[in-house]
Amino acid sequence: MFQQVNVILDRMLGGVQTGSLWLARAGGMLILLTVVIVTVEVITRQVMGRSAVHATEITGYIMAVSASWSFAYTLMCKAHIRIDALYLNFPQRVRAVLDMLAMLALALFCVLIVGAVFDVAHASFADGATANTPLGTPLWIPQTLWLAGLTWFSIAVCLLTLRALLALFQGDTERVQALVGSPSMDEIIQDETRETRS
Amino acid sequence: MILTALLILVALLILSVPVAATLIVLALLLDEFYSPFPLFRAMGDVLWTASDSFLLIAIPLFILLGEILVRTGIAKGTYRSLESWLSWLPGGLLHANIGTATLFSATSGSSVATAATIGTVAIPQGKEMKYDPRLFTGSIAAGGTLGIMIPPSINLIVYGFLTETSIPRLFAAGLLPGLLLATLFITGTALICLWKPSLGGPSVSHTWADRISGLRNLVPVLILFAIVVGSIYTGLATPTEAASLGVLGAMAIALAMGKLSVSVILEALDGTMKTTGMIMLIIMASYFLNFVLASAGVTRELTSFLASAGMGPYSTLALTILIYIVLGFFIETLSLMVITIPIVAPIVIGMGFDPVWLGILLILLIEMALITPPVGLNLYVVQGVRQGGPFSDVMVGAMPYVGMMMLMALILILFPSVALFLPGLMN
Repeated sequence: MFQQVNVILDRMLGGVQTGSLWLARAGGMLILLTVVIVTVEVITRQVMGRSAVHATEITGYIMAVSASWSFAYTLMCKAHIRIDALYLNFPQRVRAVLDMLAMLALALFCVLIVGAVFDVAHASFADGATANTPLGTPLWIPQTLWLAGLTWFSIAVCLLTLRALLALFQGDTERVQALVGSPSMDEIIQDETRETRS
Repeated sequence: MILTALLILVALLILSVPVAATLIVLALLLDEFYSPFPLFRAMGDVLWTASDSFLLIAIPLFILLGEILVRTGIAKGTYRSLESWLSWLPGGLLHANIGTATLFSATSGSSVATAATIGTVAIPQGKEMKYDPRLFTGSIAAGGTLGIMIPPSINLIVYGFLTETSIPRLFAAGLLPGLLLATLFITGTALICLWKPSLGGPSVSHTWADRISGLRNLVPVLILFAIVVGSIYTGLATPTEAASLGVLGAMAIALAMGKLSVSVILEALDGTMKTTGMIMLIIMASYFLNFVLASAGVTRELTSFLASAGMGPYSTLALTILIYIVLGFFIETLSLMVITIPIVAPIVIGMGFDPVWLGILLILLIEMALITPPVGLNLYVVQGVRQGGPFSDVMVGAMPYVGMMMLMALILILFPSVALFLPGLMN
């Protein structure tokens, strides 16, 4: 039974991995868009003496949205920060249990955050709340995009937690490490220095 | 109660629970047991306020700038040129390490990236010329830390965001202490090498023709610095706008060096988003903790507790410094900032210290944390670039620079105007 569930979960996680990368890249495109918007703003301000685009407002939304779209990718890269000074000194079995604890805490975090954020977006929609700016953007639009990123992140966290939990039940601590373990110092360094080498 | 909360915080962190989750759990516990009214209900709105930020978008933009610049391969030319200017000093190439780090800090907002970049260029040369590995690697790790002091600095943006301090003023404040620290590094290195020449390497003199012709290698980086920092200082652009212009500048350099391509941009974006996700998750959590601490009156409580314990402003400051040094041994720097700033900054600022000045002091302490074992990330990065040789080389080599940083902290405390002079001119 475990085997079948694992196969299905692994396939889903593969999908989540690809999805997260492209969602993060979409967020990256938004950051590039910011460069364009802000540059236009600076130029028009210098040349025409007033701003042509509402850069402050729009880029604020972009920040919220693109950050939330990057969370799942950061998770897949194992880059969400954990203090591992002590962790790295434990034997693999203890580490696997701590990894599980970390994932459960992250899952709790997601439930709390997504719940709260859903309420905000829903209230904005129900009340027809608009930004207090010349654009008067209906706030539910950026907030829903923001919520979408956080929801995707939560799905990734939950699937990963479930898969790691099954691995732990099967006593496969190596698998737990591969799935959700904190990367060792060597891995971090390889990652940091890879780009400068190329 | 506060003690219990602190114990829970420490326990969760030691168990390596993700920092963001730890901070939210702590905030909710404080809310549950400490606040007279439920703050939990405001969480969604507070998180939206933290995320919907024209200011914070400067962070991914500065990261992207660095990610692109690293891929242009411009560091090599910069290093060679600075070497021709600085390596006549006792210690030779060591000064090129520090000089290049200083210059790169002026365009990069990250210390780790600065150390990795310099390390990749410098270490092969150091090996070839048979430098003592200790001071050589130590100077790279230490020089790299300048990245978060000399503007632009991602860490200063985070500090400014969490304490509501003006980023342009912080950026102005970081410049002189950063340059002074670089000067201390160079002077200290020269003195050490005068005392024991075997710790350095041969001093090499270059011809003036060599030096002058090398200057063109510095031009792109200096122009980029002028665009980014100059536009902020003169008030022409906000930090976010300056960062956007900086990204365009970095792309122009990449184009000029023939390195601009779709795959380079995609790689740079992937790296940017990974780091952005890492930073933003803990900033969101820390911002909420900030809100809970302030609304529930915990800060007020702690301040009156310190006052009743007979702690004046300077003993509180001393305690703060001690806490940062100790925590800096174990906690990675960005987490150190987001965990401590909501608690420490309001108290210390409340005692009459200038928030801009405090920001610079904290950044200095955090720089120190980057090169103190066991969790000094810069040490590991340099060791990683070096590949081979005992890790203790880097550790020992960085020690003198920790001493120079302590000297710098003393200077900052005795002469606050080192940091506050430039921001004062902005009024």
